[in-house]
Formats: sequence, C-alpha cells, structure tokens
Amino acid sequence: MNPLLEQFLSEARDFLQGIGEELMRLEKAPDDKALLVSLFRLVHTLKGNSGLFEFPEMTRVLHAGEDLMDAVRNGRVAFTQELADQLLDAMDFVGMLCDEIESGGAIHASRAADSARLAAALRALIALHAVPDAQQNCEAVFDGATSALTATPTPQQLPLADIPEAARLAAYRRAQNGDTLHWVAYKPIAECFFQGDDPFFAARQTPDILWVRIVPSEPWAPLPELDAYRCVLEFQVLTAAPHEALLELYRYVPDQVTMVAVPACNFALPQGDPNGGPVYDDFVVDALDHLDAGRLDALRQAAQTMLHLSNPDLWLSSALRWLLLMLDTAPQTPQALRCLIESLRTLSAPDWSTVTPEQALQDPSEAAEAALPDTKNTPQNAPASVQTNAQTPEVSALFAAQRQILLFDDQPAWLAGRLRAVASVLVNCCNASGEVGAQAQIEAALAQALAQASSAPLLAWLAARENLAPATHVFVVPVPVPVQVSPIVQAPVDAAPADAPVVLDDVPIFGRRAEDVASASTGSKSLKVDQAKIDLLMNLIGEMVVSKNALPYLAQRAEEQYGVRELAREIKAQYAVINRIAEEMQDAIMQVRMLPVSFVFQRFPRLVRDISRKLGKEVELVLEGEDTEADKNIIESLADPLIHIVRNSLDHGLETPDVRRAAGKPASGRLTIRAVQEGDRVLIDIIDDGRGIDPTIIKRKAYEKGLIDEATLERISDREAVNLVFAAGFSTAEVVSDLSGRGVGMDVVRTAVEKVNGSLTLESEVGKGTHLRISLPLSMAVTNVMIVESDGQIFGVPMDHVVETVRVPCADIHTIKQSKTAVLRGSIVPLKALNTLLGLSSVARPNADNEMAVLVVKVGSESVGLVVDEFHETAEIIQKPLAGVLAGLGAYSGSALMGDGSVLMVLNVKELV
Amino acid sequence: MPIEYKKKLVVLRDIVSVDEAEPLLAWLQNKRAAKVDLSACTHLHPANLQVLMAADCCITEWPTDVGLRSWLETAFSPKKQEI
Repeated sequence: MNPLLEQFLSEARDFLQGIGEELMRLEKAPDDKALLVSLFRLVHTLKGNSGLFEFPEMTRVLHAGEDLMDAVRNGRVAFTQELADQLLDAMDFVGMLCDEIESGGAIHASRAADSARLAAALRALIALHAVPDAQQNCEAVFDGATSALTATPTPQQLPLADIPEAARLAAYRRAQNGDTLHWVAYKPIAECFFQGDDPFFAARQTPDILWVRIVPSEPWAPLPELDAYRCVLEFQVLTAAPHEALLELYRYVPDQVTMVAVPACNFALPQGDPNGGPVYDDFVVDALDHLDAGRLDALRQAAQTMLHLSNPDLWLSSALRWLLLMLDTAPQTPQALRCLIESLRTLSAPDWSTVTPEQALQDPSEAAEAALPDTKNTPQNAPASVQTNAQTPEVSALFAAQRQILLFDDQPAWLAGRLRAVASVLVNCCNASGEVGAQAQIEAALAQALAQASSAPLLAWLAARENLAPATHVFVVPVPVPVQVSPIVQAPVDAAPADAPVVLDDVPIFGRRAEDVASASTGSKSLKVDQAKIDLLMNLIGEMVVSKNALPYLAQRAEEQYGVRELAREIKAQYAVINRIAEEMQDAIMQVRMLPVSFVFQRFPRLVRDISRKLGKEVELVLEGEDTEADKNIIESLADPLIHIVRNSLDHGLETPDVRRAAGKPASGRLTIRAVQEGDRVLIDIIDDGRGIDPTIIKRKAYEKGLIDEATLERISDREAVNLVFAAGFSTAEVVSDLSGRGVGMDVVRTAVEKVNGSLTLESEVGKGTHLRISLPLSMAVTNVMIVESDGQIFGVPMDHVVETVRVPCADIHTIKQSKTAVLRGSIVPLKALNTLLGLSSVARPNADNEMAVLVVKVGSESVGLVVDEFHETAEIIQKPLAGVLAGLGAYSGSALMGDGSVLMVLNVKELV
Repeated sequence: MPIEYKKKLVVLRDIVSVDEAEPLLAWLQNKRAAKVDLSACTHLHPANLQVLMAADCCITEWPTDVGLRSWLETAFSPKKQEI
C-alpha cells in the first residue's frame, strides 16, 4: 500500500471518529452553529481527501453527506435525530470501506449500489426535512433525490416482449441451467460526453451478452437543432454475467444503471398472430388433465401434435414452443406449465408474477394459495403499504434454521463449507422473496466470515435483517396482478405514516454490529503518537544534553578544587558514555520527526497531469531525491509553496507544444523537482525549461503596480528584478485564471519559506527556463547561534543572520548625521550599538588595540553592523520560545540553557534593528 | 482518417472519436438520405452514433466486427436494414 493511501486511511479514521463525536455533541446541542460548521468542515475535508483515490463509492456518499451538512449549516434543513442516524450510518459505511481498502487494497464493486442508495437517502433528507420557507430552494435537489430513489422495475415491467423469441428461448435455457440473467438498462446522463465518458464503449464491455438494444430516450430533434454532444441514448442489455461483474463494470455510474435479475419464466412470452381469437379450449382442458394427472409424456405429445398442425407464426405455436421447452427443461414446475396452458384460453401473456421460482417447486395447490405480490420498492403513484413477504412462515423458518446452524459454536474442519452453504440458502431465500439487494450483502458477509473463520458476520447480517424486517413498511406500486393475494399480507393502506422515513427495507447496518464482534484483533504496526508527546521527548533530551554538559565542569572542579585526579578521570569517562548515549538518543528522537520529501512530492504527478491537461501542455515531470528527509514541520510547511511554484511553472513557465516547437525545443516541456541534502540544509530545486522570466517585463509591471519607484527601476539588476516576483501583490498575468494570476502566489511562497528559516533564490534565462531553489533547514529543533558579549552579558545571534565579524578601529568609525558608519570593503555599513538597541546604559568597550568588535548581520537585503564588546564561540542550542510576560519582548526570539547552567538569550535581529 | 466524406456516402473506419460528431452532423445536415459505410469501423463514440440515428441514415455496409454490428443493428430503423 502506498504511503499516501496509508496516511489517508489513518486520517480518514480520525475524521470519522471526529464526525461521530461532533454528531453526538450536536444531538445534545442542535443549535450550536460552531459545531455545525466544524462538522461540515470534517465531512468536506474527508470527501476531498477521498477524491485523491479511485474510490467513487466512498466519495459519492461523502459528497452527499457534505451537501446535507451544507444545507444544515445554512439553515435550509433542520438538524434531527434521524438525520444524525443517517449520517452515522453513512460514516459507518465509509469506515467499513476503509477496512476493506486496508485489508484488500480496493473496494468491492458490489458496494456501488449501497453507496448510491446511501447517498440518495442522504440527499432525500435534504428535501424531506427542508425548513418550510426554504422549500423552493431545494426543489431541484428533491427532484434529483426522488429520481435517484426510484427503484428498479420488476421483471414483469420490463419490455422483455421486445426481445426476439429466439433470443428469449436461449435466455430461458441459460436461466434453467442455473445462470442468473440480468436486464441492464444504462441511461447515461445527458452531459456524460463532456466528462470524457464513452457509455457505448462501457456498455459494449458487458460480458456474456445475450441480447442488446440501443434506443433513443426521447424523440430525435430535427437535424439542424440536434446537439451532438447531449447524450440521449439508452443501452439495454440482457446478460448472463454474474451480478458482481456487472456491478464492477458500472461501478462509476450506479445511479444511471438499472439492473434487474430476471427469473427464467419471465422470458416465456408467447407472441404471434392470434388467428381470430381464443378457440383452443379443448386443447387447454385436455392439457390440464394431463398435467394434473402427471402425464407429462402425454402432454408433450399433445402439444407436439398441435404445434405440427398450426401455422408457426401463430400465437398458439409460440406458446406451444414455450410449453415444449418448459417440459424439456423444467418438468417439475407444474404451476408454471399450468399458467402457460391457461394463457391459451385468453391468448394473453401468461402472468408469471404468480409463479415465483420458489413456488414453482412446491405442490401446485399450495403454491396457488401462497402466490405473493411483488416487493419491489417503487415510491411512485399512490403508495400502498404492504408488509414484505419476508414474513411468510416458510421463509422465516428457513432463516431461523440458518441462524441455528450459525450458532453452533464448534469449529469443525468443514466450517468454510458450512458457511458457504448457509450463505447460499440465504441468497436463495432472499432472491425468492424479492430482496434483490441482499445477495451482495450476504456475499460480503460470507467473504468476511470465511476470512475470520467465524460465523459472526453472517449472524450479524441476519440480526440486522431481523431488526428491520418486522417494522418495515415498503412503498409498493399497486402492481396490476390479478392474483390470489393471501389476506395476511394485505395491510391497511393508511398504515404508513405520512412522513414515513425514506428508508428501504433492506438497508444493511454497515459494520456497526459486525465490527463490535470481529474487529478487535486487527492492530496496526505503526504507532500514531500525538506530536506534543514527541515535543516533550525533545525537550527532555534537550535538558539532558544541558545537564550532561555540566559533567566536564564537575570533573574540572574535582581536579582543580579538590585535587582528586582519579575521580576527575572517572567522571570524564562516564561523561563520554553518557554523551554518546545522549547524542544517539537525540538523533533517534529527531528521526521520529523526520519525513521523506516524497510525502509532499507524491502528489505532484497527479497535479502536474491535471493542470497540464487543462492547459493543453505536454509536461514531463521528473522527481529526484524523494527519500531525502527533513523535519516534519519543515516538510509540511513545504507543501503549499511547492504547489504554488509548480502551478506557476506550468502556467507561466512552460509553453504550449506549438510555441515550443517554434522555438526549437522539444514539444514536451520538462519540469524537474529535485531534493538534496547539503550539510544541515535541504535544497529543493524546481527547474523548468520553459520561456523563462523576462526581467524587463517584471520591472515594468512592478513599476506599474507601484512596487518599485523610478530610481529603483533604473538601478536594479536583472537578477534582482526577477526576484521581484516574490513581492506581495505582484502578478504578470493579464487575466486572473483559476490557476494563477491573483498576485498572491509567490508572495505566499516566500512567507511560508521564511517562516521556517528557509530562503529562496530564483534564476531565470529568457527562453531557456527558470530555476528556483528553496533552501530549508533540516530541523528547526537545533539552532546554530553565535555567542557575543555585551555589558557583561552573553547573547546569541542566529548564524543565519551573521555575515562576518570584524574589528573596526575606533578611528575608522564616522558619524554621518546622527548615525555611526564604517566603510567595509568599499561599502558603507551603518553601525548600531547593541547596548543602545537593548536599552542598556553602558557604552561598548574597545579592546586593547582600540578596536571595536562589530558583528555584521544581514537583515533582508541590508547589512548592519552590531557593535558589541566581545565575540565568543558558536553553539548549537535548543531554542525555547519565551513564555509568560517575556513573550511580549520582541527583541528576543527565545532562550536556551547552556551547559554550565547559564541562560542564553537569543536575539531577534530582524525586530531589533 | 477515421472518417471520410464522399459524395453521398460517409465511410467510418477504426475508432471514430467524439470529436468527429460535430463535423459529421454538419455534413449530414446538408445531405438528405446519406449512406454510411461502417465495414471497417471497430468502435464509434455514441455522439457519432446518435447523430447517425437522428439523421436516420442508410447503413450500406455493416461493421465486420460482430459485437458492434449486433449493437448497431438495433439502433437503426428496420426499413434501412435490407440493403
């Protein structure tokens, strides 16, 4: 698994945890605006992150969640318990997907349907719970939500009669051989061409095609008004491919695809010329006689004779062909045969809804009574409320038996086989009772169960189903079925409350239950530690280094003051050991904080690809030195500036292929991002071979924007001019695009880099390219300072600022107006006494040769000489920020403990001068 | 070129991309009863397909690619299929 994904998963868990907590808190205080906003932000960020990967299922749900939270945040939807439940469910689902990704590296395609349904349910909430006065605003949303919720049609509603008889006969045989046939209708959204989709190609990839059709979903517009790029096609496929394969294929567009499993008998639709109407009563009576008496041979013979005598185009012949086929393939289904024969009386299509495959296997008399209505969820027209037929005693008994089997707590060798058997029984039961969505869930539970060698996941599924089933009311279209519906299953129409939650009957409970049982044992190898704890370790090791450094002083005292040489030597020996351990320890702790730059780099290939695609440029990205490491803070601070720089290079630097070719360069531009470690600094180079930066344009622009005055315009060198791009408010782009041109980019880069004590250099040659170098310290924990003395106190000056130390004879110091200056190497350097700057009353002391100690420091681009009493050595210190009342002192950037126990104040040169 | 315009006939070859739909539509707008030769075509973007369908074109040659042919035959009205 790549590190980015690993990080995403770990973060996603945090986010999910956070979202869960916020939701709980919101339930207690539903009006807390701040909570709402932070919740929205969590969902939003998580969605954004998930978009980095190819997890459409996850992103879809999160996107819906985000929209819902946005609506809540804006007061368009009131926060309710139910909403929280729905969101928590969605988050559980996302959590489950995370687990799945972690264990398998990918999301199973069967999740697409769940995800689409959850997303639709979330969106439906936006509409359902809309605060009344905002009703208008969300009408559009509502439309989308309801259409998304429109459930799949029943097999009876499919236009199966449009399929030629030959194809249907073939399909019927396949179905009788045990294949599950699916009717797939793929209706791409009208704008799909603009998203780069080729729905036809996708549809053509459908495996095991039995029959296909392309239909326009609306009448054709006259040619002059036709919009070639508005997709109005619908692709219909009859396939014997397994359900999973179909889900996988259409996983990106589950909302545009309807998939219906079609039982075999639904294909048996006789067609043809009625030839004057139903006149075959004699045959029907005879045939039924044969059937009731079980004389199938006689029935077959009768049918064959009849078929022989009839014109093959007749409706009758068609029905007889079906009858013969059924006798051949499924003679054990008298109910189906009866149905087909009965249809000859009226010459109307046999009503297969009365014969579900399950009953077809039962005793005919019983089957006729137990004929069941369909249980598809179709919230259309006048919704009647009917309880699911999951309650049928037989089916319930089957489920109960499976539960019993699962509850055996022995662990036989054949456990896997037993689990499979149970799962297949459950799948069959669900298919028989019309719970189409259940199959995928059971299979998922089975996979989980097999992996864990425990029956818990299947039990969890059963429990979840059980909990939902008794209380569930489903919306059912009053299917025009002239069937004997047994009285038990007919519930009063008004039983469903008017505002019944739009929850479908087979909503699984994602993971919550199953997780409780099973996931306790999955531990992670890496340890996630709060950064504060690492910082504490860092502080402690700092103190240890300081106290360790006190040992040499102690040894010295033992020798000089007490004259015990032996002891002094032993102390020194011990010191050497402690010193080594402390240094290793410090290294180790620093290592903990180290991250490779690939952490930032790995997002570039995608970024560069997307942007270059958008700009129509060809770019070859070269990443080098990805395993160079630096402190976490440094690496993190690098991310944003780098993105800005890369965008700038792509937008302004690299040219389009045509321009490049005209300039004699290869059409594809080259962008190199390289990281190298040099001493205690990390150097990041961003090099492009684009058009470079023209200093004259920069100068002119800078002057126009008032960033430089006329005098500077004349004076500055080309190199300095190029660096003006880092000035705040600078932009050369004429038009503000979504990529760059707002004039904040490079300024932000500079600020961010300087914040971590880094520096930037920019070199550019017109026509050749641009080279930008960021130099960053390896770690911010250890600072290198130069120690100076003034007025009897010692101060530290960060080495980054120190240019040089010089001794200036008092005679060479001149006073110009009020300020002192000296000429150093031909340039005038203003001198400032450190004592004066710090408000100390004493005057700097010259040394024996009447020379002043001057520390030349660089502030921005200016050099300033600080007059001090004496220079001392440089030291590596661990700088602590000033706390409490001292925090307000701008002159100091922090303090550090020295080995001998003294405190060193570190000057903030920038503030001071 | 995946698409070649002749006097009253347009020949589609290999894979006809989405970009061809606009010119194809423009061409068809000026040619009533245009004929289409798909014999060498292996795939065409649905934008092209719906343009052909909307123009009610006469397919003179069906694709040799059997899979594609079985799809396309359903898309055009039967009266044109005899040829």
